[in-house]
Amino acid sequence: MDLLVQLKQVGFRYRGARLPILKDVHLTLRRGDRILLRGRSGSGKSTLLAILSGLAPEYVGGTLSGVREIFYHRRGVVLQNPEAQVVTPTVEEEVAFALENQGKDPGWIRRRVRETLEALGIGHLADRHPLSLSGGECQRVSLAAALAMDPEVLFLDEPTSYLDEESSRRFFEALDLLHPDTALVVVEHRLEEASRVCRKAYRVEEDGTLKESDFAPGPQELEGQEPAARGKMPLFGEPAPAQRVATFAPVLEIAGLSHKWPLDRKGGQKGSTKLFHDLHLKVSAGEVVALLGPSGAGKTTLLGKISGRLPVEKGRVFIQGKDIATLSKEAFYPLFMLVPQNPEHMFLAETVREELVAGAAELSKEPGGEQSKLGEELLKPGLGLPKSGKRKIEEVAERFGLSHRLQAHPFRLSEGEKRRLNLAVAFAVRRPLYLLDEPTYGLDDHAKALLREDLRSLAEEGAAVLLVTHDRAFAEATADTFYILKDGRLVQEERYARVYCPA
Amino acid sequence: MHVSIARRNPLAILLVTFFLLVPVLLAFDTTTPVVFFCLGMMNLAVAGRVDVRKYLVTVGILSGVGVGLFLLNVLFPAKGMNGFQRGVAVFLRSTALVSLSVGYILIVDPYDLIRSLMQNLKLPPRLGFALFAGWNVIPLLRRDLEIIRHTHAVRSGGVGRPFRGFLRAAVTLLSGAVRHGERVSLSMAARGIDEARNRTFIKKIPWTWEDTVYCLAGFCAAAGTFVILIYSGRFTFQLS
Repeated sequence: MDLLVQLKQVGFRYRGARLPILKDVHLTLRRGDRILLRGRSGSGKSTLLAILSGLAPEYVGGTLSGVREIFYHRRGVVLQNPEAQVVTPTVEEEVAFALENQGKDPGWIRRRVRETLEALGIGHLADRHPLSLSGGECQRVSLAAALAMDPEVLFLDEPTSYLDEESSRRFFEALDLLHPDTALVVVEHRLEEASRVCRKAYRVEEDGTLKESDFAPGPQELEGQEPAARGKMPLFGEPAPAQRVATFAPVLEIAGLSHKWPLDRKGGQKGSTKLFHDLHLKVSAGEVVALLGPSGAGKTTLLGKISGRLPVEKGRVFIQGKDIATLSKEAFYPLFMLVPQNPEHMFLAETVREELVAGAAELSKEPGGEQSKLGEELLKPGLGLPKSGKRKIEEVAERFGLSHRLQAHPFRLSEGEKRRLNLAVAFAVRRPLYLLDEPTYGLDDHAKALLREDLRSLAEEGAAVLLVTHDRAFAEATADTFYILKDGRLVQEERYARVYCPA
Repeated sequence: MHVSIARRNPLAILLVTFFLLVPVLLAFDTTTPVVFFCLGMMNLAVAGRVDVRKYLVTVGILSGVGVGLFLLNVLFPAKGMNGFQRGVAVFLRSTALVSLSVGYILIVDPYDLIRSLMQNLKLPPRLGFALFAGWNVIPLLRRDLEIIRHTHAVRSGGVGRPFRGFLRAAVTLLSGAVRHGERVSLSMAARGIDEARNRTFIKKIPWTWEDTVYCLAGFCAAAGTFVILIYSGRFTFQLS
């Protein structure tokens, strides 16, 4: 039988939600189909994938309406976050997990696991703990676990959203191993990669319906493509003017910064390894600087040193001309704002509304700090939120696409919404320097375009922005200056626009 | 990752360790803890291989509790009691309990213990692998707590009360841990954990006849020694 899943007039509503996230969805999945599900972040793409894979509402709660018929027996599922899929202490057991659940013979399982790992080029990792691997390797292990079952249908829910470009490319290349009869359903923002493996695309619309689509990027959906392929960069409007602010005084200056990485005992070596050495970097007021580089190059570590989370053993870091080693926390932290890689790490309130209020309220505690106009508006006349404050919160929520989620718990937002909430909170306060660690993880193209605008506005108002990202297209459209951290060295690069679009 | 250096099934070692712990738990003399400590050392030599340095450091640190109890009894003796004698007995008992427990913890891989529970005592795989995931998450929690505290501190401009800040970070960490648990649970469900009727294991932790002999020997040694101590009048009973 060719039919694998059939949805007729399917709708879905999450517990406690006022409106359904999906409605009147019709979809037929047959053997060998390769489908891309696209749409804005929070639109319900992942929910639809969960419905098709039999995980919603069974394991995530909510109410399903309409008719869903599932005819397949073996499915493989790869989710977004590589860390959150790890159950067992070795790669071998991780890949064997589903086969063991099926009660297969252990000898056969071992052979099957070995074959699958070898096919994906990660046979040498069989005895490692999955959590000791890089994000890219860990996600390939998840893919191996799904492929080892010889699934009739493979579901991929934004499998590359935590990976750098190289790891993403390799992940999609690995899908060439799929049997032609295996159906594939992918939720993915990287359209170029997805179009390599998918033959059909559907878009989840704002109203929750599903429409047939194509792979052509929308007005703001060109990320993932090489700049040369898009001519004059229509992605986020005109590219940022190069070296526009080079003459301004540096807000952040790094001089001769080095970092050694102590290996644990399992690393097999005593002593330490140089992660990076003698780095020099300047970020001026009004400038957006992008720091690029492969996974594991030390980008996040560098940010950790600048922000004081990790000690500065060798070299110096200056913010507004002050050596951070000489500053107390009270003097140091008001000089910058940090947006972490995991958006959940920034949350401290029970609702989105409270987070937005807290964003401004925290600022008022700053001794001698400058308060943003928004913060002032939010906080007057003191207790509770005044009408003007409520209006401002609503404006901010609207600006960041969160107005329909004001009462939601921050942890219950979609990945993109969480990221937008981080940015709303960060931008509500005024600091001289903004440090952003992979701010485009989980963001759709529209949200990236908004982020780009926000970062440019911040810079125009005189803030310095240091952006750590693996998203080259976004960096190109946003930053004035680029640095590549690779093999322990920091190299300033020409603007990509110049490299790719000499004309 | 903790690597198993146990030569016997973790459940068998647990059982023998239990046999050795019970008399010490009930004793209030100075002989019983010392004798069972010696038996415990013999058990470690038979059951696995222990990293002596790590063992001594851990026992040394945890023995601080025993030293505290000793000083408490010496400095504030109970009415009509020899504080020093009582202090020594309490110190030996607590140190013997710590030594036996630490020995078990250091030679048994927690993953192997859970595997053994699933394979030999029919612990439901859904629960067993949830324990796996819980053990996996401990280093992640440590890392996340550090990042959360730092991010919150930066967000609040370095001001605010440390205790409140810690509570906030703990709430964020806990919420994150709950979400992580939900995601791992979904990942397990997607791989058919709930349909596992006749689950197999590529890593087997079987219960062998050697384990049975080891347990019987452990029981006989512990019970025999206990009886001898009682009849020789060396054993003094006190529960608290």
